Amino acid sequence: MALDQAFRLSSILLAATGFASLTLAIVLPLWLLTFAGGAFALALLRVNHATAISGALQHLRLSALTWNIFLLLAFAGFWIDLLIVSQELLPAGIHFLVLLLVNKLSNLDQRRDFLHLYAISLITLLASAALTTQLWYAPFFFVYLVAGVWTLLLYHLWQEQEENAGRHMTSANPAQTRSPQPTMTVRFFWTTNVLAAGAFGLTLLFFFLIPRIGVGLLQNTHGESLRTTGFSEQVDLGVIGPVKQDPSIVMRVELPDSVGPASTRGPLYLRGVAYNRYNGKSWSNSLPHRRMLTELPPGTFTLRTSGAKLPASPRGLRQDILLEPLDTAVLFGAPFPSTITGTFLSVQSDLMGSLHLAFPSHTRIQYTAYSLPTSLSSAERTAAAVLYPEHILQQYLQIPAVSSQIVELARHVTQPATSVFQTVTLIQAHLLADYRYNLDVPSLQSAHPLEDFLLTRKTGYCEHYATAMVVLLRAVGIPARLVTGFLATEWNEFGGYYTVRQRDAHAWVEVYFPQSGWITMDPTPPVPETVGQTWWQSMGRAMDSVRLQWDRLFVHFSANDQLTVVQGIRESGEVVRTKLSESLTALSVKSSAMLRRVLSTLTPTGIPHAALLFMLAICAAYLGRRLLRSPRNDASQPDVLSAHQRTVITLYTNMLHCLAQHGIEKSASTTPFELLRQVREQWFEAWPTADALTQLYTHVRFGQAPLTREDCTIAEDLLRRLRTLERATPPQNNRTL
Amino acid sequence: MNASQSIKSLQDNIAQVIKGKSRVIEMAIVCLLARGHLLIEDVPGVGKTTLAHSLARSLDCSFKRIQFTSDLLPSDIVGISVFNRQKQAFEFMPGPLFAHIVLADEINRTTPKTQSSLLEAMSEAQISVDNHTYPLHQPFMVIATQNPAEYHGTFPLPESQLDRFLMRLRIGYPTPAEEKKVLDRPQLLHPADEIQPVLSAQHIVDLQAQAEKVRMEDSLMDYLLAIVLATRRNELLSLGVSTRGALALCKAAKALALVRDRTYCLPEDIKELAPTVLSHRVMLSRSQGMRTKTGEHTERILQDILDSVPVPI
Repeated sequence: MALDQAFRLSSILLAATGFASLTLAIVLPLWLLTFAGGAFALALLRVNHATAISGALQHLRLSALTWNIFLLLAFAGFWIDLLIVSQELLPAGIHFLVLLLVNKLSNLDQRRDFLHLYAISLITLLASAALTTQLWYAPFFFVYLVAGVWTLLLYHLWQEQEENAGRHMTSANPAQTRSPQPTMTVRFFWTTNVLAAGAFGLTLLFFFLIPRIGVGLLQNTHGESLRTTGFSEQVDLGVIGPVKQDPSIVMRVELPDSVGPASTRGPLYLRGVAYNRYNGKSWSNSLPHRRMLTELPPGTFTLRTSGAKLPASPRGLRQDILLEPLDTAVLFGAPFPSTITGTFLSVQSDLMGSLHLAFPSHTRIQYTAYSLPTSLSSAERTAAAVLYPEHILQQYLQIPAVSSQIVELARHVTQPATSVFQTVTLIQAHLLADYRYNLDVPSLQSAHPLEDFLLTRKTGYCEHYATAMVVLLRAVGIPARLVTGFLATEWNEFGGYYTVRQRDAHAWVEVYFPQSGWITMDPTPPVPETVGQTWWQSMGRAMDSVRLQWDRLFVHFSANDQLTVVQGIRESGEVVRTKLSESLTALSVKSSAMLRRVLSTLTPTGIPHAALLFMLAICAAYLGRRLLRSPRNDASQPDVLSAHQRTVITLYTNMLHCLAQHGIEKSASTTPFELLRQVREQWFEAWPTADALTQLYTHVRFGQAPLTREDCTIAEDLLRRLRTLERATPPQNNRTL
Repeated sequence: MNASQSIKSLQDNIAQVIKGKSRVIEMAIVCLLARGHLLIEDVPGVGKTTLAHSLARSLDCSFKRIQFTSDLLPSDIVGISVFNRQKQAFEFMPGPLFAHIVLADEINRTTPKTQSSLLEAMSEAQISVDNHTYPLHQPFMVIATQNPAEYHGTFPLPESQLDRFLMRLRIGYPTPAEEKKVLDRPQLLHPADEIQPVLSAQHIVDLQAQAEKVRMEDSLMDYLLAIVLATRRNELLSLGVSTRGALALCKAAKALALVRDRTYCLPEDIKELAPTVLSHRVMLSRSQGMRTKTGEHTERILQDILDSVPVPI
């Protein structure tokens, strides 16, 4: 098969595969199907140059203007389809796409047209992929891939041949001039197929292996977990201080359910571990017993309070948390996490509501936490005294042997209190007012860090404040405990999530009220603003959000994410459509009102208005004409060949072919009339014909004269005469050589 | 009378005097229509002066001849301001450059100073003397001749001045048959004096304007530039064609198209003119010998270049 033919066939096959997959994915209207089918059939018939049919088809061609009008109509039809008929983006877009395909199939002339055809066929394939998840798509996809490889190869061969054709027929050395007409052999066919199948297999292999290898390898080689402090069994007072400068990211928290502008987002407490026992230097947990959370349904772990039934769906504040690999197995969540969903084997909880995995994760983990916040009931807000259960009193009133000055201080501070809650607030207020926040505290050196903080130094950071508050509360008989975790303040406005860093590590206090439960109190004065507003800081946040999306969309891409993306596109299309139809309705109402007003002015008294309107219409028509004309002006610009010029070049090239077959080769540097002189010397019988053709060619090609229909017929006649002459006389290669 | 008829009659008129040199006549007319200046380089006695003379006579234009010698001064050709006693003022006496056609005979015999005084006149068609600028006549054409056979006591034209000539022509000896026709003519009068003017100066100005309107298709422009670029890249040439040279080739090709009765250029116009228009604008490499002696050699190199540049289809 000749190269040109094979190339055109494979291009049509490519388009046909895309189209066929589309017809199976969506029900197309019958007229569109027949229309497209007809276009394919015509394109196939045109492939064979030699037959009489293709000759007839050449005359059947519609002009470029007709096609442009057709496209404009199709575009208008697309909007009508979108807004009135199918009322959905996808079917309307597909109908339009099929019309585009028909247009391109009918106008396959230049390289550009083929490239457009490929783009359209790719879109059809993608569209059908979006519409279906059926298995039959796979064979179509495979055929498309194979046809794509053929077409790509043939396209380049074809392009090369076209370029060579010009060079060859004119090459100075006659020995090289016979350009071999490449033909498509069976071997070429099979080699291409093997190539395509191999590429497909390799792609699949890479697709399945590479991301997994990357995740596995990368995180094993330098997957060093972040070293955290403050979440182990025992926490020494003052350990958080050193990490308060560390900007490494610990986790990112999205709040998908909460709405509102970013500026209103306050700090978010992310609870880690609670401690109840203080020995004067360090905090520990005296209730190490843990229990498993109920896993029902799989992947959802619920903290079950004894006797209560499991809620049908998780309740409370939802947080989507992406946790970097840490050296601790603690799971974080806003107080108080009740349900965790994630792909874990098990989740455990201790008696103070801290959640743990069985062991620390070496990879980044994603989970969703649902938290039930507690709030103080109004009765307890004013109660003068409350009655605590026995087990609470046992566990949460322990004080180490502290100096009597601290007890004295507690009594002194809480003296004016009239209620329990006021006692708590008075202690908090005292700490907030009389102490200064300062990270620069020599840690672990003092034998009595709390006394140092409360009585002498009076500067410290969150741990000191929280410890002091717990001890002061306990000194006046109120149960309290220390909690460590993170205080998220850095809101990433680009990605819509909190970035939590090491330096956000925090410690605060939970106070017990029998009816309300554990109430979160924070005696630490607010830390100076950490969320920077300078452009490079917000740039950093944007970069972080991009990095997160990259991880989510590419590295950890899943069917779930895919679905979300598709749904998002569909929803936004829907929004655009409704908005458009609304505005169109508004526009039509307005325009009909205007029309009515115009009609009312067309009464005899309104003649000036009518005249004005008439003039406006003339202006509009003139403008429209100018606009319609401008593309033609562009086309006549020198660097673009007009249709006439292209036609005449084709005619002239045909003449050159014919002459070359007779042994008269045009070298690249030969001018048309120099060639004519050569013809006159070597093949006198053909000279008058060649002369007439050359005259016409130069006149149209360089004189930019229009090529009339008669000219065309005459030229074709001349060419035919030249061919007959060529067949009649034997080639005179020996003479030219 | 339309353009092709006027040009034809002009050609025929000159051909009465210059026998058998139709190409040289055509080139001279192209040069005139392209508002260019002509440098004729040939041995004495082959009709350089006669060509210039007959061209001027055919045109109903003023014609001046300057014989360049080593003691010629700029004021000798440009003109001089003379004090007029009656008017008590300086009065400008125009020199021989104030003519339509100026024949600068043996231009390489004069000093560079005088040669360069031709410069402004040739490029701007005006002359500045004593802070006054005098426009020259339109059309204005300088036909310069030089003798390549004899170099003793000459001042070869500087590169900048050579570039100002649109083309460099060689006339060559006539064939014996044509030479016989020359001898066969009555010798009573100078043959150039016998012919009658066929075109007026205004005619020529119109034709010049018409030549400018000749269309050059974009691909031909590319072809022309490809030739120019090839001269710049050729290793046998140490100096390629300048932009002014490309412009000159473009103008000349348009004029040739008009002379051949076309409203558009063809590749042949460019290809045919390139050696004539470009050969004096390039310099041979040191290895190729002295430039002044090798006009033909340069044209051969240019022909090779032309054979390597593809013509647009």
